[in-house]
Amino acid sequence: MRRSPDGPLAGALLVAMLLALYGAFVYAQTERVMGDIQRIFYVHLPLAWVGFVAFGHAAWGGIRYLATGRREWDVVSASAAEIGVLFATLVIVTGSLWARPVWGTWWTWDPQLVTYLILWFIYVGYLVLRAAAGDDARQARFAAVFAIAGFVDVPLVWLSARYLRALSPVIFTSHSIGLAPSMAWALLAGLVAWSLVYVALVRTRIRLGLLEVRVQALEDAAA
Amino acid sequence: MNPIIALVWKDLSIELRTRELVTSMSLVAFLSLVILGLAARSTPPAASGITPAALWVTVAFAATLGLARAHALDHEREALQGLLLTPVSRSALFVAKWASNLILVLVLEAAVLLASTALIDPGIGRRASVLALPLALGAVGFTATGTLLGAMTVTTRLREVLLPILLLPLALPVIIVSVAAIARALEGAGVAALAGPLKMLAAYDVVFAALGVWLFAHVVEE
Repeated sequence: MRRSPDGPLAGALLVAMLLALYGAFVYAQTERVMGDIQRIFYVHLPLAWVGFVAFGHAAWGGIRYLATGRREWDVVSASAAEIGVLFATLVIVTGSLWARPVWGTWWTWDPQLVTYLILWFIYVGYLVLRAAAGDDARQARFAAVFAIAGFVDVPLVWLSARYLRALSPVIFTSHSIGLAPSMAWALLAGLVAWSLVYVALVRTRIRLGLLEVRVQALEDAAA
Repeated sequence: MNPIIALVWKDLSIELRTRELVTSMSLVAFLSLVILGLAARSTPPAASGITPAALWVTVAFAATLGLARAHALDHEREALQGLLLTPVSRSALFVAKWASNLILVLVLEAAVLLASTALIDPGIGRRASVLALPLALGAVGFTATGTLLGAMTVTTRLREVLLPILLLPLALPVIIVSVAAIARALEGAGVAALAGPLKMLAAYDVVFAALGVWLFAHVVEE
Protein backbone atom coordinates (compact mmCIF):
# COMPACT_ATOMS: atom_id res chain seq x y z
CA MET A 1 0.00 0.00 0.00
CA ARG A 2 1.18 3.50 -0.90
CA ARG A 3 1.79 5.78 2.06
CA SER A 4 -0.58 8.70 2.19
CA PRO A 5 1.13 12.09 1.65
CA ASP A 6 -1.27 13.65 4.18
CA GLY A 7 1.20 13.54 7.10
CA PRO A 8 4.13 15.16 5.28
CA LEU A 9 1.75 17.67 3.68
CA ALA A 10 0.36 18.72 7.06
CA GLY A 11 3.89 19.04 8.46
CA ALA A 12 5.10 21.12 5.52
CA LEU A 13 2.01 23.31 5.76
CA LEU A 14 2.56 23.94 9.49
CA VAL A 15 6.22 24.91 8.98
CA ALA A 16 5.46 27.06 5.91
CA MET A 17 2.60 28.88 7.63
CA LEU A 18 4.69 29.63 10.73
CA LEU A 19 7.48 30.96 8.47
CA ALA A 20 4.97 33.03 6.47
CA LEU A 21 3.49 34.55 9.65
CA TYR A 22 6.97 35.30 10.99
CA GLY A 23 7.93 36.81 7.64
CA ALA A 24 4.82 38.98 7.43
CA PHE A 25 4.73 40.23 11.03
CA VAL A 26 8.37 40.29 12.14
CA TYR A 27 10.95 39.77 9.39
CA ALA A 28 9.61 42.11 6.67
CA GLN A 29 10.55 45.74 7.29
CA THR A 30 7.73 48.20 7.89
CA GLU A 31 6.61 49.95 4.74
CA ARG A 32 7.42 53.65 4.81
CA VAL A 33 4.14 55.19 3.62
CA MET A 34 1.46 52.75 4.75
CA GLY A 35 3.15 51.41 7.89
CA ASP A 36 2.04 48.14 9.45
CA ILE A 37 -1.18 48.10 7.43
CA GLN A 38 0.84 47.11 4.38
CA ARG A 39 1.58 43.73 6.04
CA ILE A 40 -1.83 42.48 4.85
CA PHE A 41 -0.14 42.44 1.43
CA TYR A 42 1.71 39.21 2.40
CA VAL A 43 -1.65 37.48 2.74
CA HIS A 44 -3.63 39.37 0.07
CA LEU A 45 -1.30 38.85 -2.89
CA PRO A 46 -0.62 35.12 -2.31
CA LEU A 47 -4.38 34.56 -1.92
CA ALA A 48 -4.95 36.32 -5.26
CA TRP A 49 -2.28 34.26 -7.04
CA VAL A 50 -3.50 30.98 -5.60
CA GLY A 51 -7.06 32.00 -6.51
CA PHE A 52 -6.02 32.30 -10.17
CA VAL A 53 -4.37 28.88 -9.95
CA ALA A 54 -7.58 27.44 -8.48
CA PHE A 55 -9.69 28.78 -11.37
CA GLY A 56 -7.13 27.45 -13.86
CA HIS A 57 -7.32 24.07 -12.08
CA ALA A 58 -11.12 24.12 -12.39
CA ALA A 59 -10.88 24.86 -16.13
CA TRP A 60 -8.31 22.08 -16.57
CA GLY A 61 -10.65 19.65 -14.82
CA GLY A 62 -13.40 20.81 -17.19
CA ILE A 63 -11.25 20.26 -20.30
CA ARG A 64 -10.25 16.78 -19.10
CA TYR A 65 -13.88 15.93 -18.30
CA LEU A 66 -15.09 16.93 -21.78
CA ALA A 67 -12.24 14.94 -23.34
CA THR A 68 -12.60 11.76 -21.25
CA GLY A 69 -16.12 11.83 -19.78
CA ARG A 70 -14.74 10.56 -16.46
CA ARG A 71 -16.61 11.73 -13.34
CA GLU A 72 -13.31 12.08 -11.43
CA TRP A 73 -12.40 15.13 -13.54
CA ASP A 74 -15.75 16.73 -12.79
CA VAL A 75 -15.04 16.26 -9.09
CA VAL A 76 -11.61 17.90 -9.54
CA SER A 77 -13.17 20.85 -11.40
CA ALA A 78 -15.95 21.37 -8.85
CA SER A 79 -13.54 21.12 -5.90
CA ALA A 80 -11.08 23.61 -7.39
CA ALA A 81 -13.87 26.07 -8.21
CA GLU A 82 -15.31 25.86 -4.68
CA ILE A 83 -11.96 26.50 -3.02
CA GLY A 84 -11.34 29.22 -5.63
CA VAL A 85 -14.52 31.02 -4.56
CA LEU A 86 -13.30 30.83 -0.95
CA PHE A 87 -9.94 32.35 -1.94
CA ALA A 88 -11.59 35.03 -4.12
CA THR A 89 -13.83 36.01 -1.21
CA LEU A 90 -10.78 36.34 1.04
CA VAL A 91 -8.99 38.40 -1.64
CA ILE A 92 -11.88 40.86 -1.75
CA VAL A 93 -12.17 41.01 2.05
CA THR A 94 -8.42 41.54 2.61
CA GLY A 95 -8.31 44.07 -0.25
CA SER A 96 -11.18 45.95 1.31
CA LEU A 97 -9.53 45.91 4.77
CA TRP A 98 -6.38 47.25 3.18
CA ALA A 99 -8.16 49.96 1.15
CA ARG A 100 -10.00 51.36 4.19
CA PRO A 101 -7.02 52.87 6.05
CA VAL A 102 -4.88 53.53 2.95
CA TRP A 103 -7.41 55.06 0.56
CA GLY A 104 -10.03 55.99 3.17
CA THR A 105 -12.67 53.83 1.55
CA TRP A 106 -13.80 50.19 1.80
CA TRP A 107 -14.04 49.89 -1.96
CA THR A 108 -12.13 51.36 -4.86
CA TRP A 109 -12.34 50.53 -8.55
CA ASP A 110 -8.75 49.41 -8.52
CA PRO A 111 -8.15 46.94 -11.44
CA GLN A 112 -7.09 44.09 -9.13
CA LEU A 113 -10.18 44.44 -6.95
CA VAL A 114 -12.50 44.84 -9.96
CA THR A 115 -10.98 41.75 -11.59
CA TYR A 116 -11.50 39.71 -8.43
CA LEU A 117 -15.04 40.98 -7.93
CA ILE A 118 -16.01 39.88 -11.46
CA LEU A 119 -14.23 36.53 -10.99
CA TRP A 120 -16.13 36.09 -7.75
CA PHE A 121 -19.42 36.60 -9.63
CA ILE A 122 -18.38 34.18 -12.39
CA TYR A 123 -17.50 31.34 -10.01
CA VAL A 124 -20.42 31.91 -7.68
CA GLY A 125 -22.47 31.63 -10.89
CA TYR A 126 -20.65 28.35 -11.54
CA LEU A 127 -21.78 27.01 -8.15
CA VAL A 128 -25.38 28.13 -8.81
CA LEU A 129 -25.24 26.45 -12.24
CA ARG A 130 -24.10 23.16 -10.65
CA ALA A 131 -26.91 23.30 -8.14
CA ALA A 132 -29.54 23.99 -10.84
CA ALA A 133 -28.26 21.82 -13.69
CA GLY A 134 -30.29 18.68 -13.03
CA ASP A 135 -28.99 15.14 -13.60
CA ASP A 136 -25.34 14.23 -13.01
CA ALA A 137 -24.13 13.96 -16.60
CA ARG A 138 -25.67 17.28 -17.60
CA GLN A 139 -24.38 18.94 -14.43
CA ALA A 140 -20.84 17.80 -15.20
CA ARG A 141 -21.05 18.84 -18.86
CA PHE A 142 -22.48 22.31 -18.18
CA ALA A 143 -20.08 22.90 -15.29
CA ALA A 144 -17.11 21.96 -17.48
CA VAL A 145 -18.22 24.29 -20.28
CA PHE A 146 -18.74 27.17 -17.85
CA ALA A 147 -15.46 26.56 -15.99
CA ILE A 148 -13.59 26.78 -19.32
CA ALA A 149 -15.48 29.86 -20.53
CA GLY A 150 -14.99 31.52 -17.13
CA PHE A 151 -11.24 30.93 -17.15
CA VAL A 152 -10.86 32.19 -20.73
CA ASP A 153 -12.66 35.30 -19.50
CA VAL A 154 -10.04 35.98 -16.79
CA PRO A 155 -7.49 37.82 -18.99
CA LEU A 156 -10.29 39.77 -20.73
CA VAL A 157 -11.64 40.90 -17.35
CA TRP A 158 -8.14 41.95 -16.31
CA LEU A 159 -7.50 43.88 -19.55
CA SER A 160 -10.84 45.70 -19.31
CA ALA A 161 -10.30 46.62 -15.68
CA ARG A 162 -6.86 47.99 -16.55
CA TYR A 163 -8.28 49.88 -19.52
CA LEU A 164 -10.82 51.43 -17.19
CA ARG A 165 -8.04 52.60 -14.88
CA ALA A 166 -6.10 54.10 -17.79
CA LEU A 167 -9.07 56.44 -18.25
CA SER A 168 -9.19 57.59 -14.63
CA PRO A 169 -5.73 57.22 -13.15
CA VAL A 170 -5.32 55.95 -9.59
CA ILE A 171 -2.38 57.51 -7.72
CA PHE A 172 -0.86 54.30 -6.48
CA THR A 173 -1.85 50.65 -6.46
CA SER A 174 -0.71 47.56 -4.63
CA HIS A 175 1.86 46.94 -7.35
CA SER A 176 3.63 50.26 -7.10
CA ILE A 177 5.30 49.26 -3.83
CA GLY A 178 9.03 48.85 -4.26
CA LEU A 179 9.84 45.54 -2.58
CA ALA A 180 12.83 45.47 -0.22
CA PRO A 181 14.54 42.03 -0.05
CA SER A 182 12.99 41.21 3.34
CA MET A 183 9.55 42.00 1.87
CA ALA A 184 10.17 39.79 -1.15
CA TRP A 185 11.13 36.87 1.13
CA ALA A 186 8.03 37.37 3.28
CA LEU A 187 5.93 37.41 0.11
CA LEU A 188 7.57 34.22 -1.15
CA ALA A 189 6.95 32.49 2.21
CA GLY A 190 3.31 33.57 2.04
CA LEU A 191 3.01 32.24 -1.49
CA VAL A 192 4.39 28.82 -0.51
CA ALA A 193 2.22 28.62 2.63
CA TRP A 194 -1.03 29.59 0.90
CA SER A 195 -0.29 27.28 -2.04
CA LEU A 196 0.05 24.42 0.45
CA VAL A 197 -3.25 25.46 2.08
CA TYR A 198 -4.84 25.21 -1.36
CA VAL A 199 -3.33 21.78 -2.03
CA ALA A 200 -4.51 20.49 1.38
CA LEU A 201 -8.05 21.88 0.97
CA VAL A 202 -8.50 20.76 -2.61
CA ARG A 203 -7.20 17.24 -1.84
CA THR A 204 -9.69 16.91 0.99
CA ARG A 205 -12.52 18.28 -1.12
CA ILE A 206 -11.69 15.94 -4.05
CA ARG A 207 -11.62 12.97 -1.68
CA LEU A 208 -15.03 13.97 -0.34
CA GLY A 209 -16.36 14.40 -3.89
CA LEU A 210 -15.12 10.96 -4.95
CA LEU A 211 -16.77 9.42 -1.87
CA GLU A 212 -20.03 11.16 -2.87
CA VAL A 213 -19.77 9.63 -6.34
CA ARG A 214 -19.23 6.15 -4.81
CA VAL A 215 -22.14 6.52 -2.41
CA GLN A 216 -24.32 7.63 -5.31
CA ALA A 217 -23.24 4.61 -7.37
CA LEU A 218 -23.99 2.24 -4.46
CA GLU A 219 -27.42 3.81 -3.93
CA ASP A 220 -28.18 3.52 -7.65
CA ALA A 221 -27.08 -0.12 -7.62
CA ALA A 222 -29.26 -0.87 -4.57
CA ALA A 223 -32.31 0.83 -6.06
CA MET B 1 -29.78 26.54 -49.35
CA ASN B 2 -26.87 26.93 -46.96
CA PRO B 3 -27.99 25.36 -43.65
CA ILE B 4 -26.88 28.36 -41.59
CA ILE B 5 -28.94 30.74 -43.73
CA ALA B 6 -31.89 28.35 -43.59
CA LEU B 7 -31.66 28.17 -39.77
CA VAL B 8 -31.41 31.95 -39.40
CA TRP B 9 -34.36 32.34 -41.78
CA LYS B 10 -36.34 29.88 -39.64
CA ASP B 11 -35.74 31.96 -36.49
CA LEU B 12 -36.47 35.23 -38.26
CA SER B 13 -39.68 34.04 -39.91
CA ILE B 14 -40.98 32.85 -36.50
CA GLU B 15 -40.18 36.31 -35.16
CA LEU B 16 -41.75 38.07 -38.19
CA ARG B 17 -44.98 36.16 -37.60
CA THR B 18 -45.27 36.69 -33.84
CA ARG B 19 -43.05 39.76 -33.27
CA GLU B 20 -43.10 38.78 -29.58
CA LEU B 21 -39.34 38.91 -28.93
CA VAL B 22 -38.66 42.34 -30.42
CA THR B 23 -41.83 43.76 -28.88
CA SER B 24 -41.18 42.47 -25.37
CA MET B 25 -37.47 43.34 -25.43
CA SER B 26 -38.20 46.87 -26.65
CA LEU B 27 -40.89 47.41 -24.03
CA VAL B 28 -38.55 46.33 -21.23
CA ALA B 29 -35.90 48.65 -22.70
CA PHE B 30 -38.28 51.62 -22.90
CA LEU B 31 -39.37 51.08 -19.29
CA SER B 32 -35.77 50.89 -18.15
CA LEU B 33 -34.97 54.13 -20.02
CA VAL B 34 -38.00 55.86 -18.52
CA ILE B 35 -36.88 54.94 -15.01
CA LEU B 36 -33.29 56.05 -15.72
CA GLY B 37 -34.52 59.23 -17.43
CA LEU B 38 -36.73 60.14 -14.46
CA ALA B 39 -33.87 59.57 -12.05
CA ALA B 40 -31.49 61.64 -14.19
CA ARG B 41 -34.02 64.45 -14.60
CA SER B 42 -34.22 64.99 -10.84
CA THR B 43 -30.45 65.56 -10.64
CA PRO B 44 -29.51 67.30 -13.94
CA PRO B 45 -25.71 67.52 -13.57
CA ALA B 46 -25.50 63.73 -13.37
CA ALA B 47 -27.56 63.23 -16.51
CA SER B 48 -24.81 63.33 -19.14
CA GLY B 49 -22.57 61.11 -17.01
CA ILE B 50 -25.02 58.23 -16.90
CA THR B 51 -25.72 58.10 -20.64
CA PRO B 52 -23.20 55.37 -21.66
CA ALA B 53 -24.16 53.24 -18.65
CA ALA B 54 -27.89 53.81 -19.31
CA LEU B 55 -27.47 52.47 -22.85
CA TRP B 56 -25.73 49.30 -21.77
CA VAL B 57 -27.80 48.60 -18.65
CA THR B 58 -30.89 48.81 -20.82
CA VAL B 59 -29.51 46.73 -23.68
CA ALA B 60 -27.94 44.10 -21.41
CA PHE B 61 -31.07 43.41 -19.37
CA ALA B 62 -33.54 43.56 -22.25
CA ALA B 63 -31.27 41.40 -24.44
CA THR B 64 -30.82 38.82 -21.66
CA LEU B 65 -34.60 38.46 -21.39
CA GLY B 66 -34.89 38.14 -25.17
CA LEU B 67 -32.10 35.54 -25.43
CA ALA B 68 -33.66 33.43 -22.69
CA ARG B 69 -36.97 33.46 -24.55
CA ALA B 70 -35.32 32.75 -27.94
CA HIS B 71 -33.75 29.60 -26.50
CA ALA B 72 -36.95 28.58 -24.74
CA LEU B 73 -38.63 28.59 -28.19
CA ASP B 74 -36.05 26.05 -29.43
CA HIS B 75 -36.71 23.92 -26.40
CA GLU B 76 -40.49 23.83 -26.73
CA ARG B 77 -41.87 20.73 -28.45
CA GLU B 78 -38.30 19.37 -28.76
CA ALA B 79 -37.51 21.60 -31.75
CA LEU B 80 -33.81 21.50 -30.95
CA GLN B 81 -33.86 17.69 -30.73
CA GLY B 82 -35.19 17.66 -34.28
CA LEU B 83 -32.38 19.91 -35.46
CA LEU B 84 -29.79 17.72 -33.75
CA LEU B 85 -31.00 14.76 -35.83
CA THR B 86 -30.29 16.59 -39.09
CA PRO B 87 -26.81 16.23 -40.68
CA VAL B 88 -25.84 19.80 -39.70
CA SER B 89 -22.71 20.27 -37.60
CA ARG B 90 -23.09 21.53 -34.02
CA SER B 91 -20.87 24.50 -34.89
CA ALA B 92 -23.22 25.48 -37.72
CA LEU B 93 -26.15 25.27 -35.28
CA PHE B 94 -24.26 27.60 -32.94
CA VAL B 95 -23.36 30.10 -35.67
CA ALA B 96 -26.97 30.17 -36.93
CA LYS B 97 -28.46 30.71 -33.47
CA TRP B 98 -25.82 33.33 -32.74
CA ALA B 99 -26.62 35.16 -35.99
CA SER B 100 -30.36 35.27 -35.28
CA ASN B 101 -29.74 36.37 -31.67
CA LEU B 102 -27.37 39.07 -32.95
CA ILE B 103 -29.97 40.37 -35.42
CA LEU B 104 -32.53 40.59 -32.61
CA VAL B 105 -30.15 42.46 -30.32
CA LEU B 106 -29.08 44.86 -33.11
CA VAL B 107 -32.75 45.70 -33.72
CA LEU B 108 -33.12 46.23 -29.97
CA GLU B 109 -30.05 48.51 -29.92
CA ALA B 110 -31.47 50.63 -32.76
CA ALA B 111 -34.70 51.04 -30.77
CA VAL B 112 -32.72 51.90 -27.62
CA LEU B 113 -30.68 54.53 -29.50
CA LEU B 114 -33.86 56.19 -30.76
CA ALA B 115 -35.65 56.07 -27.42
CA SER B 116 -32.66 57.24 -25.37
CA THR B 117 -32.12 60.21 -27.70
CA ALA B 118 -35.63 61.31 -26.79
CA LEU B 119 -35.64 60.32 -23.12
CA ILE B 120 -32.08 60.62 -21.81
CA ASP B 121 -29.70 62.71 -23.88
CA PRO B 122 -30.20 64.38 -27.31
CA GLY B 123 -26.42 64.06 -27.78
CA ILE B 124 -26.92 60.33 -28.46
CA GLY B 125 -28.75 61.08 -31.70
CA ARG B 126 -26.07 63.50 -32.88
CA ARG B 127 -23.25 61.00 -32.21
CA ALA B 128 -25.24 57.90 -33.24
CA SER B 129 -23.06 57.09 -36.26
CA VAL B 130 -19.96 56.78 -34.03
CA LEU B 131 -21.78 55.26 -31.01
CA ALA B 132 -23.22 52.51 -33.16
CA LEU B 133 -19.79 50.90 -33.64
CA PRO B 134 -18.89 50.10 -30.00
CA LEU B 135 -22.54 49.24 -29.31
CA ALA B 136 -22.71 46.78 -32.25
CA LEU B 137 -19.28 45.24 -31.57
CA GLY B 138 -20.37 44.81 -27.96
CA ALA B 139 -23.53 43.06 -29.13
CA VAL B 140 -21.46 40.58 -31.18
CA GLY B 141 -19.54 39.37 -28.11
CA PHE B 142 -22.56 39.60 -25.82
CA THR B 143 -24.72 37.41 -28.07
CA ALA B 144 -21.91 34.90 -28.73
CA THR B 145 -21.63 34.27 -24.97
CA GLY B 146 -25.39 34.52 -24.57
CA THR B 147 -26.03 31.89 -27.24
CA LEU B 148 -23.65 29.39 -25.62
CA LEU B 149 -25.03 30.01 -22.12
CA GLY B 150 -28.67 30.38 -23.21
CA ALA B 151 -28.64 26.88 -24.71
CA MET B 152 -27.40 25.66 -21.33
CA THR B 153 -29.59 27.58 -18.89
CA VAL B 154 -32.85 26.79 -20.73
CA THR B 155 -32.59 23.13 -19.66
CA THR B 156 -31.79 23.88 -16.00
CA ARG B 157 -34.14 24.18 -13.08
CA LEU B 158 -33.74 27.95 -12.76
CA ARG B 159 -34.15 28.63 -16.53
CA GLU B 160 -34.38 32.35 -17.33
CA VAL B 161 -33.23 33.38 -13.83
CA LEU B 162 -29.90 31.64 -14.34
CA LEU B 163 -29.00 33.28 -17.68
CA PRO B 164 -28.29 36.80 -16.32
CA ILE B 165 -26.36 35.31 -13.36
CA LEU B 166 -24.00 33.54 -15.76
CA LEU B 167 -24.04 35.86 -18.77
CA LEU B 168 -23.58 39.29 -17.20
CA PRO B 169 -20.30 38.55 -15.37
CA LEU B 170 -18.83 36.77 -18.42
CA ALA B 171 -19.90 39.62 -20.71
CA LEU B 172 -18.66 42.36 -18.36
CA PRO B 173 -15.29 42.84 -20.14
CA VAL B 174 -17.21 43.60 -23.36
CA ILE B 175 -19.60 45.94 -21.55
CA ILE B 176 -16.79 47.79 -19.71
CA VAL B 177 -14.86 48.53 -22.91
CA SER B 178 -17.98 49.37 -24.91
CA VAL B 179 -19.24 51.76 -22.21
CA ALA B 180 -15.84 53.48 -22.10
CA ALA B 181 -15.80 53.87 -25.90
CA ILE B 182 -19.36 55.24 -25.92
CA ALA B 183 -18.41 57.77 -23.23
CA ARG B 184 -15.51 58.98 -25.36
CA ALA B 185 -17.70 59.12 -28.48
CA LEU B 186 -20.19 61.30 -26.58
CA GLU B 187 -17.34 63.63 -25.64
CA GLY B 188 -16.73 64.09 -29.36
CA ALA B 189 -14.06 61.48 -30.20
CA GLY B 190 -14.19 60.22 -33.79
CA VAL B 191 -13.85 56.64 -35.03
CA ALA B 192 -10.06 57.03 -35.43
CA ALA B 193 -9.68 58.06 -31.76
CA LEU B 194 -11.68 54.98 -30.71
CA ALA B 195 -9.43 52.52 -32.58
CA GLY B 196 -7.98 51.15 -29.31
CA PRO B 197 -11.23 50.11 -27.60
CA LEU B 198 -12.79 49.01 -30.90
CA LYS B 199 -9.86 46.65 -31.54
CA MET B 200 -10.20 45.30 -27.99
CA LEU B 201 -13.92 44.68 -28.58
CA ALA B 202 -13.21 42.93 -31.88
CA ALA B 203 -10.61 40.71 -30.17
CA TYR B 204 -13.08 39.82 -27.38
CA ASP B 205 -15.68 38.97 -30.03
CA VAL B 206 -13.25 36.55 -31.69
CA VAL B 207 -12.51 34.88 -28.33
CA PHE B 208 -16.20 34.46 -27.45
CA ALA B 209 -17.04 33.20 -30.95
CA ALA B 210 -14.24 30.62 -30.75
CA LEU B 211 -15.49 29.47 -27.32
CA GLY B 212 -19.01 29.07 -28.69
CA VAL B 213 -17.97 27.12 -31.78
CA TRP B 214 -15.77 24.86 -29.63
CA LEU B 215 -18.08 24.25 -26.67
CA PHE B 216 -21.61 24.36 -28.13
CA ALA B 217 -21.52 20.66 -29.09
CA HIS B 218 -21.01 19.74 -25.42
CA VAL B 219 -23.94 21.90 -24.37
CA VAL B 220 -26.57 20.41 -26.67
CA GLU B 221 -25.36 16.78 -26.65
CA GLU B 222 -27.78 14.41 -24.88
